[in-house]
Order: sequence, then structure tokens, then C-alpha cells
Amino acid sequence: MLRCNGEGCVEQILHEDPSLQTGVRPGQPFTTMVCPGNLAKALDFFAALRRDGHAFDWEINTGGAAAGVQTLRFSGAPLADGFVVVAVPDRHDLDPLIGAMLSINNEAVTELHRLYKDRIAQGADEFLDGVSQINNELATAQRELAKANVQLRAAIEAKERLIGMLVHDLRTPLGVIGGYAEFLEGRPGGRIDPAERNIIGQIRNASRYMSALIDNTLAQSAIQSGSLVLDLRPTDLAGIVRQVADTNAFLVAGKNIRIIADLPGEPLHIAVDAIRIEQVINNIISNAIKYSHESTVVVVAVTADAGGAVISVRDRGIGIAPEVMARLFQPYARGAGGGISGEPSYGLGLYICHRIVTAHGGSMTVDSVVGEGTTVRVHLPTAAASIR
Amino acid sequence: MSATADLILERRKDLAEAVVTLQYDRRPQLVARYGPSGRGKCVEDVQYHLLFLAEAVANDSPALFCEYVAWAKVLFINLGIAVEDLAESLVALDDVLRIRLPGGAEIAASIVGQARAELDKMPGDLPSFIRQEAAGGELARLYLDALMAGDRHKASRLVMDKVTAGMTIPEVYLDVFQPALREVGRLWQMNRITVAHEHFATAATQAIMAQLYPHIFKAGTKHHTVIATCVGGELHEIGARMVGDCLELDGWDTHYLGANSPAKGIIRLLRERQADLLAVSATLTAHLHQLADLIGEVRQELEHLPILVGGYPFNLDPSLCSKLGADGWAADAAAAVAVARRLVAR
Ligand code: B12
Repeated sequence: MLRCNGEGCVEQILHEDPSLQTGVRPGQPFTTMVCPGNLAKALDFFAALRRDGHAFDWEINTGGAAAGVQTLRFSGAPLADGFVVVAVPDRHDLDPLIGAMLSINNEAVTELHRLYKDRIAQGADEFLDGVSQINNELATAQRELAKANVQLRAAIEAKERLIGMLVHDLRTPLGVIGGYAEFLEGRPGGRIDPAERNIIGQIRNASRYMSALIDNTLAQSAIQSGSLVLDLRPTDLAGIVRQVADTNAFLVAGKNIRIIADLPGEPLHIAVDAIRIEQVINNIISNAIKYSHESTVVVVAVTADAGGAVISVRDRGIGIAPEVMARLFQPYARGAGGGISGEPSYGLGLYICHRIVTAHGGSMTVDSVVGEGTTVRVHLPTAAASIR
Repeated sequence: MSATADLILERRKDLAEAVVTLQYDRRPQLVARYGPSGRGKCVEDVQYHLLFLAEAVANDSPALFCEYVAWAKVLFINLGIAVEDLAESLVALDDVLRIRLPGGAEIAASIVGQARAELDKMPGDLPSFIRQEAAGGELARLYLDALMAGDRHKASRLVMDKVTAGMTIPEVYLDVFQPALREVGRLWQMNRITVAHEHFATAATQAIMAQLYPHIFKAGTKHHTVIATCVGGELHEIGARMVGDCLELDGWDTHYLGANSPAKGIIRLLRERQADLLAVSATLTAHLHQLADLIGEVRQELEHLPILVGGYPFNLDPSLCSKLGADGWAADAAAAVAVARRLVAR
């Protein structure tokens, strides 16, 4: 800390930390301690001090070849007919220095302290304004997002309603196509040649497959919109399973796969939504066929147990990879991949089955070994508990 | 903006220097009282006087300057600055304007003179903005206490609980947030809290308003489209946000641009959205000429678009609305909804 006259000559060294070794001497300009390259800046500093009556926190290099260059921070304030100049290695060094000098109650130090505080406070204000601006922008963006979110949700709902209606309306013409195909197939042998019969069979199968897709799509949108309502009536599970196994025979056709139905001798009545459970069984059996190797069997069984009934479907197919197992009941878990012989799959099947079964208060388990096959078990309770 | 007002703004620095020089000449003991740095502060203060004076002159609104002086009086008293110094700076300002301002000096000086004459009668402190007996008054008090204690979660809970119990959004805005925030301003002005408290109270309130969005945004058709925004340079944005939100609740499709929106962007969006109304907020009086400019620019591009204005200075002098060339103003967000409806029905 130096006291300088109006020309910048050092009149008195008020305090010097010996470790700094600035080499400054009374009677010489304070600039003797400055590095030659920074001389102009030091003179600017002093000019600013004279012009404004204060200068704060100028970074100036001091020392030279011998002592090594050291960057100090210069501040200055008026003192009687001259100035007090303070150079510190670090801005924060001002605090203890000023504190110590304040106890001596030096007028110049009081002034310097005030300047220092003003400067810090000024900076803080600018920062606060900046933070305020950022916060305003965030708050405005948040409002925009909240609004867009509501609009998007409404748009999605509208689209889903539209798709639902469209898909629903496709059912009727598909029914007509499938129905006529069946009618033609039933004509006496001589009137249709085998090639034609084959074509008609494909039309019937394709329309049946499309109907299943439509049912899945409708079920999915019902599940997503939370409007899956079950129509529970006592139903013969064995009957449904037999029927579904029969109608799936078409998928088996080219692959030489046998479906073995292991069903109880008499009807097994349980309160379920027949259409939904048929959909579940259909999904599981057609999956089993899809992922089966050629010339294997798919075994479908229904057994009664204490709490209700168990439907199981076992295949000798490719199995399910462990990483897929973990998210099996999520939509699109298996991906939109295909079956062994390229049968289309949209990855919704097990997700929908699981939702329907749990809506019946039942549970669903899958055991699978890659390369060996998969067994799916559906347990349905006698008293279908929860209806969601 | 009038030529005199322009001149005042342009020469603000020199005029302020001249006023302070005159003031110090007349009273040399000020040097001792305010110390070596005090003079600079005085110049800053007078520059601030001139900002408000320019707007008062431009809008032919002595009230704007008188209200400013009344505001400054409370501020100064609480900072420990003598009111007589404020009075003397007004006298010096009056004198300097008469000498240094060609032409328009009369208007400016008479506005200053009027404020000077009223200064003694102006109150030295302000009553609280929170009245316990008012609707929502008790909640406003608790809300403010929570914010001043730095507890925004408690503040949020207080509000959310009431909303769940049936308090409407406009009630929360106008009976709780508005008086609480204005009280924050009063406490700052009375030197009881810092700017940091003010920032915290604002940020917390903005966050709590965002939590209320599920109650505000609903799907469905909207009857009109409005762009709500603050004038360029403005940092105060909660008032404008409230206006936007209340219009949204009233079935408007609102687009809120927030604080500090440049005119170009506002006009582009007005076109893009085919807006039926522009709602602009200004809080700092010094921003009124920007608002006048914005209104001028919008009129040039979209001649028939109704423009609604509001904010702190309009509550001091409602005649500003027509002087600035706007079509309507409102004192708060609830009144804004009614005026907005009327403007688009024309
Ligand atoms: C919060 C606040 C801030 C925040 C703003 C942050 C933000 N994101 O909004 C920060 C900390 C940044 C700030 C800064 C400053 N502020 Co400030 N601030 C406030 C405070 C406390 C609250 C503002 C608020 O939200 N009020 C609540 C709302 C709901 O009320 P409103 O704005 O009046 O809005 C209603 C009506 O006016 C109307 N309305 C508003 N806009 C519109 C638009 C239309 C179209 C319509 C129809 C109606 C309408 O409807 C609204 C809802 O009912 C006020 C105090 C006060 N009395 O308002 C001071 C206040 C406005 N600030 C003031 C000052 C001096 C400043 C600063 C200069 C210094 C400082 N204190 O830091 C800086 C300047 C910053 C800048 N460059 O703009 C003074 C202004 C004094 C004057 N004479 O002009 C006030 C009045 C404080 C005081 N009592 O001294 N501030």
C-alpha cells in the first residue's frame, strides 16, 4: 500500500508484504515496479485514478527479468493532495487488508472500502438481473409447454377416436369377405379346382388375421383410454380353447406343426368376458405357432385348479431372449419383428393379453428357454375379482 | 414523444451534473454529509428524476412525476437521506431547466414546481398492501411470511391447499399473489428487505403459478386469440402473466411472450397467429416511451388491431391509455378480461 503524490511518485510505503518483493522505493514513480510491457496500462490506471477520483481492480504485471513476473491487482483512491494505491495478488486479499487498516481508522482506507463494496454490489445487481431474465424466460417457456401439452393431448385423443372408429368400421366388410370366402370353400368339390380352393383358403385366412389385428388395435385403444370394460358371463373355457385351436389351423398349414389340445372331458365354466378371453387365447396360440420350428407340436391345455382355471400353451420354438423377457408385457416388447416364417407381428399381443387377464383378476406367466421353446400360462380366478 | 421530453433524455447526464453543481454551491456542507462518493450518487438520483420527468412531459401527466417524488420521499427517508435534500434538488432542477432547456422549459419546470409544492404533504411511509380483513388477506399474509422466511415449499402448499378447497385462480392471483408482491415492493422501498428477497419472492411465485397450469389450460375451442407481452426492457412480468392466464381461463387462445419482448417479434407473432388483440404491460414509468413506440409500430402494420395496456403507471394515471394511443386499459387482471371482451366485440 503506497501513498503517491499527484504525479504518481511514491511518497511513503504504508505497508508492504515482504514476500511480494516489488522493489518499489520512495521518491520514485510507482511504475518502477511494473513490468516494461505493462507500463502503458499502469499509466492508464493512474490517469483513470486522477480523472475519476478512483480506480478499482486493474490487473497489472509487475517485476521483471530478475524477480520474475507477478500479476497484481491495483486499486486507488484520493488521499489529501495525493492518492493511495493498493496492489494485491488476489482481489480477496483486499478484505483482510482493509479490515486491518480500518482498525487504524485511516480515512483513505474507509474510502477504499466503500469503493470496494460499491463495486461488488454493482456486480451483484447485474448478476441478479441476469438471473431474473433467465428465470423469466424459463417461466415463459414453461407456460408455453404446459399449453402445448394440453393441445397435444387433445389432438392425440381426437386421432385415437378417429382410428378407433375407422378400425371398427373395417370389421364389417372384413366379415363379409371372410364369410363369402368360407361359403365358397364349402361348395362341393367338383365345382372349384384345387388351385382355386387354395386361393379362397388364403383369402379366408388373411381376412381372419386382419380381424385379429383389428381386435387387438381396438383393445389397445380401450386399454389406453382406460375404457376397457369387461362383460363377465359364465363361459366354457374348454370350448373357447378348442374353437380357437381349430381356427388357428390355417397358420399351421404350411409349417407341418401339430396343435395338440389337452382338454377336460366336460365343460369348465367360469365367469369371463368370452370375446376378450378368446382374443387372449388366440394371441397366445398364434404366437406359439409363429415362433415354432417346423415339424414340432404346440400343446394347449386347460385344467381346473383350486382358485379357478389354468390355460397353458407350450411350443418347441425359438424361445424368448432374457432381455426381452424383462419387458414382455410392455407394448412392442418383441419389436415389430416377424415370426419364423415371416408372419407379421406388431408386438402388441402379449401386452394386450396381460392387461385383459389382469383386468379379470388373473395372472399370466411365461417360461422360456432360448432355442427350446416357451410355455405361457394364464390363470383365471373363479370369481373374477377386479374389473378395471 | 415530445421534443422537450427527448431533449431531457438526451441531455440527462449534463442536466443532472448542472443540478448537483448548483445544489452543492448552495449548500457546501453536502460535501461533508455525503462524502467524496456522495456527489456521484446525487447525480445518479437526479438522472433518475429526469427519466420520470421526461415521461411526465411526454404524456402531459404531472401525476407521473408527483407520484415518483412521493415514492422517492419514502425511499429516501428510509435510507436516512433528509427530505430537505430532495426538496432542494427539486428546486435546483427547476432552476436548471429554466436556464438550460430552450422552449419547453415552462412545462417541465411547472411539473417540477407542482411536485415540489406537494412534497411536504406527501406521506413519509406507506400502509401495508395486505389487509387481514380483505378477501384472501390472511392467506396473503401467511404466503408472504413463508416467502420472507425463504420457504417456497410452504408457500406453495398454502396456495395449493386452498385451490384444492375451491379457491379460484383469479382469486389466488388477485387476493394473494398481487397484494403479497406489492407488499414485497413496499418492504424493499422501506429498506426492510434486499433486492435478493424481491428476486426470491418473484421466482417462487412464478414457480407456484406454473404448478397451477393444470387448472388454467383446457382443451377445446377458443373464441379469440390474444398476444400478451411486456414492453421491451421490462423485467417485471408477473402482472402481464396474470392477465394472460385470466384471459386463457376466459376461453381465449393466449400466447404469452414474457418480459422484454422486442417489437419486431411481437408484430411477427401477431400476424402469424392472426391475433384479435394485443395486451401490453409496462411497470417502470421510464419504459412508457418504448410502449408509445411499440403502439406506433403496431398501428403502422396492423391498423385495426385493438391494443390493451396496463401496469403500474396506468394505475397512477389512467389517462395514459389514450395519451399513448391505446384502445383500453384495466387496473387488474379481472378487469382486463372484461375490457378485452369489449374491445374485440367492437
Ligand atoms: C417483483 C418486482 C421486481 C422483480 C421483477 C421480476 C419479475 N420477473 O417480474 C425485480 C427484482 C427484477 C425488480 C426489479 C426492479 N424493480 Co421492481 N418490483 C417488483 C414488485 C415487488 C412486484 C411486481 C409484481 O409482480 N407485482 C404484482 C403484479 C400482479 O401487479 P402489477 O404488476 O401491478 O400487475 C397488475 C396490474 O397492474 C394489471 N396489469 C399489469 N400489466 C397489465 C397489462 C395489461 C394489458 C392490463 C390490461 C393490465 C395489466 O394487472 C396485473 C394483475 O392484476 C413491485 C412492487 C409493486 N407494487 O408492484 C416492484 C416495483 C415495480 N419495482 C420497482 C423498482 C424501483 C425496481 C428497480 C428499478 C429497482 C429494484 N427494486 O431492484 C428494478 C428495475 C428492473 C427493470 N429494469 O425493469 C418499483 C417501481 C417504482 C416506480 N416508481 O416506478 C416498485 C413499485 C417497488 C417499490 N415499491 O418501490 N422488481
